[in-house]
Amino acid sequence: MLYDAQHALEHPEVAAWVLGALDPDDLAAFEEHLQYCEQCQAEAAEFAPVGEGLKFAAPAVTPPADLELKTVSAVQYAAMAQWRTEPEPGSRPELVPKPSSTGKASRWWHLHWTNPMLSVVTALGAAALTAAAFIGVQLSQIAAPAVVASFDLKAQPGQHGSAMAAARDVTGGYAIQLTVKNLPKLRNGQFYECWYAGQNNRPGNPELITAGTFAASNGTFNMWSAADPAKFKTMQITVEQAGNASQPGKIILSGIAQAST
Amino acid sequence: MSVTQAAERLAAEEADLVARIAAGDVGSPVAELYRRYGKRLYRFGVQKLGNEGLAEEMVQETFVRLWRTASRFDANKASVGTYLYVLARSVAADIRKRPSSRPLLLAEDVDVPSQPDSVDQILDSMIVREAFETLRPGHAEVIRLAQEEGLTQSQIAERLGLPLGTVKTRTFHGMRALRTALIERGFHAV
Repeated sequence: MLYDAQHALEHPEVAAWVLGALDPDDLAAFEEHLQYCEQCQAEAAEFAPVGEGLKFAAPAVTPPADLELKTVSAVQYAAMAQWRTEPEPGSRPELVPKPSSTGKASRWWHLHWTNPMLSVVTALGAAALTAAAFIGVQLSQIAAPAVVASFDLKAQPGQHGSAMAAARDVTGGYAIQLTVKNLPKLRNGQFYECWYAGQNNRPGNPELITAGTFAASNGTFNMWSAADPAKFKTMQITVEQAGNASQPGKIILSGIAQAST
Repeated sequence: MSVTQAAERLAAEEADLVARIAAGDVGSPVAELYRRYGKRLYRFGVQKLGNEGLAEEMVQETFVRLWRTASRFDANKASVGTYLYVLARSVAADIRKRPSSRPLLLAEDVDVPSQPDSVDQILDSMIVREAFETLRPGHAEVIRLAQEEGLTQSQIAERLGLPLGTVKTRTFHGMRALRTALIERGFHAV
């Protein structure tokens, strides 16, 4: 039956009748009308499944903003755990490409020299990593540690790309899962580096702790750092040139830690 | 492009995302499927488990199980959406069995809303919510007050400070708009 706008204006009660929301007086009058009005009978038949569907409507709730990151991280953590216990060359994405030894060595020395405190933190991280490797932790047998901070990294002016990262509190440091998209292409000898920056970080007084290096403009990388994201709240992605540690690389992405509840 | 062609293309695209996960890519394909289904799964979790924290856990575990079983996914047997809901239902059942997830209230003290059982019903419940969210606020409010709070038209008019006639016409036009939105989304009952 065609929709009759005029009739609808005269008897809009049909919708409330389907919902069971008519007042008693209107209910009696409308049900009497309904007995002989084909238009209202047709409308009621059309609205009935809508009213029924409303009873089963999913709750009007919205997931927390960081659930996407937590979910992707949970899958990556499970995958990482399996890869460590059941290595399957060929089906395993590249985790953390080895950094350029020349560039990294110089950069580390530079940081330690400018801020001795960082060398202690870094040494603790390295020791923790070595200890974990020595003990041979079977990640698949433990529950995924909680995400303590997440980062939504945005492109700096004139740059492009994006990234999301999650830091998990694990014994002796923080495991980081970083997913990058559409980063600027690298030239020969270049690589990306992920950094934690402290609040007093500035030229001449670097408060930087590396989280790792990688060489793909798209992908997911698992890294490790001793930096506490509650203290080193800024994450940056830079483009570095192997063998050139005199100047920090150009910052292409940056984001502030969002503490997870 | 017809609706059928668009649906087939979407199904093929999502099957490809699952194939990439099966091949070991646990980055962007997982994120993309989350963006498509995360909100619906979360709502399903809240509906099934009655707790937002448990719903979060259910969503995460559903995607972990998707990763674990991705190589066994057969696009000829089910859509990715249906497959995810089958996994989610299983995860929710496991969470409910856990002693720590059980409510402290006695069963008779808990007001349990109507719950869908089959995957089709689950998908319908998501579609209804999404269709409802497309309504104009004025239409949505009068329907919500009638449906969720059980108010009559005159009670709604009083609550919102509107003339009774306005409430009646808003209810009518809201229900029509909702029906149209449901049809557009393939709600099978209308």
